[in-house]
Amino acid sequence: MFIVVTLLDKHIKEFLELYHNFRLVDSNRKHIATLQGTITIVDENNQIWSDYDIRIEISHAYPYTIPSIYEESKLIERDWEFHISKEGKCCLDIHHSMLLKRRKGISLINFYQNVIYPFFANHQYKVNEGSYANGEYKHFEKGIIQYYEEELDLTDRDYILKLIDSAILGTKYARNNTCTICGSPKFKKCCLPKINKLTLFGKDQLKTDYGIFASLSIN
Amino acid sequence: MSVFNPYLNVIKKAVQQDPKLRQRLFSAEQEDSAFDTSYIKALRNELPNSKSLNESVSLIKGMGAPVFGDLPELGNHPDFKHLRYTDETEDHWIISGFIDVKDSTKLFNRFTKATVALITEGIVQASIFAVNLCDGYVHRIQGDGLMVYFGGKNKDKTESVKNALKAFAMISYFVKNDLKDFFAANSVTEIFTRAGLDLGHNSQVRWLYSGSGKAGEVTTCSLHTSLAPKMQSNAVSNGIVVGQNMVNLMAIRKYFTEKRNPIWEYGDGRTYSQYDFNWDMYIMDNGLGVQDRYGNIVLTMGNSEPKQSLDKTYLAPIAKLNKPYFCL
Ligand SMILES: [Zn+2]
Ligand SMILES: [Zn+2]
Repeated sequence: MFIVVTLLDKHIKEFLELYHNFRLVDSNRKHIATLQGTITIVDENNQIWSDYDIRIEISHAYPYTIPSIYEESKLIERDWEFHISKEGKCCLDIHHSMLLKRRKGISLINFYQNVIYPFFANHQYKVNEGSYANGEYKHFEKGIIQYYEEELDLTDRDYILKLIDSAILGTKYARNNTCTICGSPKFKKCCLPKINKLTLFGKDQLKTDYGIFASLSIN
Repeated sequence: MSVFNPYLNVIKKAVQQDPKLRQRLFSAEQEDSAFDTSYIKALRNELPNSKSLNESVSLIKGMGAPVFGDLPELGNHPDFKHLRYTDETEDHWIISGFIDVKDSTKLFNRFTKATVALITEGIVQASIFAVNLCDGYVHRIQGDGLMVYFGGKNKDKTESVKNALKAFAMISYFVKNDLKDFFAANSVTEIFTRAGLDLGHNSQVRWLYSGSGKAGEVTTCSLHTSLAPKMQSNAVSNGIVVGQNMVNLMAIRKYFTEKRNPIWEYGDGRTYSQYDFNWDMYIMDNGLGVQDRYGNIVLTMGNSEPKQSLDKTYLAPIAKLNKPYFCL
């Protein structure tokens, strides 16, 4: 008999060797590995803030997947102000940023340390301080508009629509020709890098984004 | 805040004030006598005495730790001190423990002997604190190590085994984590403890007064008291090796890995095993510590300040990595 040890199995084993408070549970769900455990928020001065019981669900598409995180101790108020669903599913970050991570492939321990752990640390920050440490995205469409502005430095509705359109169509323009979008002499130096970046989000997300920007009234 | 901070702080000061460390960048090798180490005396007095020890205890009140008064005198276990100056004996179970601090000669290249001695003393004092905290009894202090007992009359044997494991785990934690973090920042890594623990049952331990006249002490004559230092010498850096009698009393065995060679052969084919004790797993499972973002263990004992007194500036760098969005 052959035992196939997948990358996910290997990374789960490494994770459980490092974090003693987690265990693999039988979730009776095909193609999903479920970890359950307690996350303790300890800051950089070894101050202990709080514990949360959480569940991590990882699809077998790993590493090209984003784990789902559920907060089970109900210490986070089930209110959209806290970026959590009634079932306790946590909204760790905006989809765009997650899509980029998924495309590159994640590593479980790294994802725990840099995405999951900071989410709960930030909840502690908010309940003790009144606001999140690094701001937050607005809800729904407004958050996506905010992402384009803050992370991609794009604010002009019509320009954004043209960029998204080119990214969806995947039109091949000559790199050294005049740009048909903004009119500058070399396409490769103005809009091409932006289009390439948008392409990474994938067509589904880009279509959603197009709809959001298209429905904005022309200012 | 860790229960060991008062010790760590003195060690930090000694290292920071060490004249050899300060001068080595500027001048050639110098004899220790060329340095003024008078500050060491003041620092020694800063090591917590039994009075501030009690302050640490009040800090951890309600956490299942026993409260103790002044440090008891050494050399005569209180439950057996009636044997003093007599030739009577008594058979009673006891756990014997040995722990010592190993520092490499590299430390002497870097610091004055006075500083190295103070570092060692700081660790030994922190160890005494942990042993007392966990209901143990310090029998003897040897410059860089301790001989201790856990258990006695009217004590539960299994509880005493757990207390011994807890105390030694805390000490190993202190040296491996708190202290090492600091030394690593000062590019010194060569300091560690090694420990051995073993339990002798009633039929295996004889208490007696050993020595002539008044120059003696109440001590144990037991194979298992003798095996403990042997196991100590088999421990890896920051390791704790425990005897089979201890492991037999523990319901959960996953913390113990049997060593390939037994520590004792009875001569009739029977052997007595020794085990490596996985103390960091033990600390986690028994709620004595938690793990930070990177999996480093942080002791919970004495680390329970009320939320409003926590300083958020240390939380912010981690929290800032997250920017939440509601998208469900
Ligand atoms: Zn352009
Ligand atoms: Zn979401």
